[in-house]
Amino acid sequence: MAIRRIVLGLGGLLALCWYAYGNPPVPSLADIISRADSFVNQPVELYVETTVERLQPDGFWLRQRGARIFVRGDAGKAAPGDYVTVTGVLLPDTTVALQAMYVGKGRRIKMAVSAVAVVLAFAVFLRGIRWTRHGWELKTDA
Amino acid sequence: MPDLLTHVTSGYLVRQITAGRLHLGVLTLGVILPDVVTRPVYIIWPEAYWFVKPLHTPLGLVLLSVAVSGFFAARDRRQALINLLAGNALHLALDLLQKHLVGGYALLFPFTWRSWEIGLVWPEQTLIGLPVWLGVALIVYFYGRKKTARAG
Repeated sequence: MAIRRIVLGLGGLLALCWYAYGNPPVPSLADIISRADSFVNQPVELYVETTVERLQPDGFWLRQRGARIFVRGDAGKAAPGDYVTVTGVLLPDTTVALQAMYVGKGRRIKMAVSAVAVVLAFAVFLRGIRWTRHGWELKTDA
Repeated sequence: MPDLLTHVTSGYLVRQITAGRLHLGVLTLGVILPDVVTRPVYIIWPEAYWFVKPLHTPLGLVLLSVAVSGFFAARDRRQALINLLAGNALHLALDLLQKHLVGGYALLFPFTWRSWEIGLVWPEQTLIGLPVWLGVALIVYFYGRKKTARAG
């Protein structure tokens, strides 16, 4: 094992992650709601783990983490629980006027398929290496 | 992202196309790495989304692969790193075929969050092509076994 290589790689990565966490390109829904005055009439983009909570005749409730907001517009084929991406404009009453929307139908199936793939991939990986006191070694026939 | 089964299958096919010059196990690890170290984290803990986002960028993946290759014995370290990076590159190449309404792949992070995509398919549409990918992979697998049996 090369401890210096591992520490350098992970150290650099930690610095990158910390920088990204402190400089996100878009505010979260919680940020938008808590500082609504500064976002009124501004475009908003909601796509990080955002789901439809409830449908209403004139729009739908959107949930991101613990925060929720009402979106005015046609929910299209979206159903409660669907993962969605929404762009719109924040209105003075702290609702969003919908401009465009993408409904991630099938995302849960994709997650299930991917979980199976992870098990398969780790099995293939473990089959291709051997553990020694010098570190992992590649098996030549894998 | 396409589903991970599509990614794993693509890794297997590329390995076969390169006549086995790549190591299947490490290439496969490289192929799944970008999603395995990000998706479960922010699905369980969405607040961590922007923290783990760099792990799905080229620079972040180079650093991660360098770190992972450090677990290999000195004689295999270079080959492991090459295979991990090849897997990472293949993963990103497939991801770039997608389109998103907003938010894509920040290839030049940390210099910019701007994203680039080729924009051929929506993320969930890769499920439609999955049976085809799997079918091709199975044909290649059984053809390879038959060839090996004949040679042996």
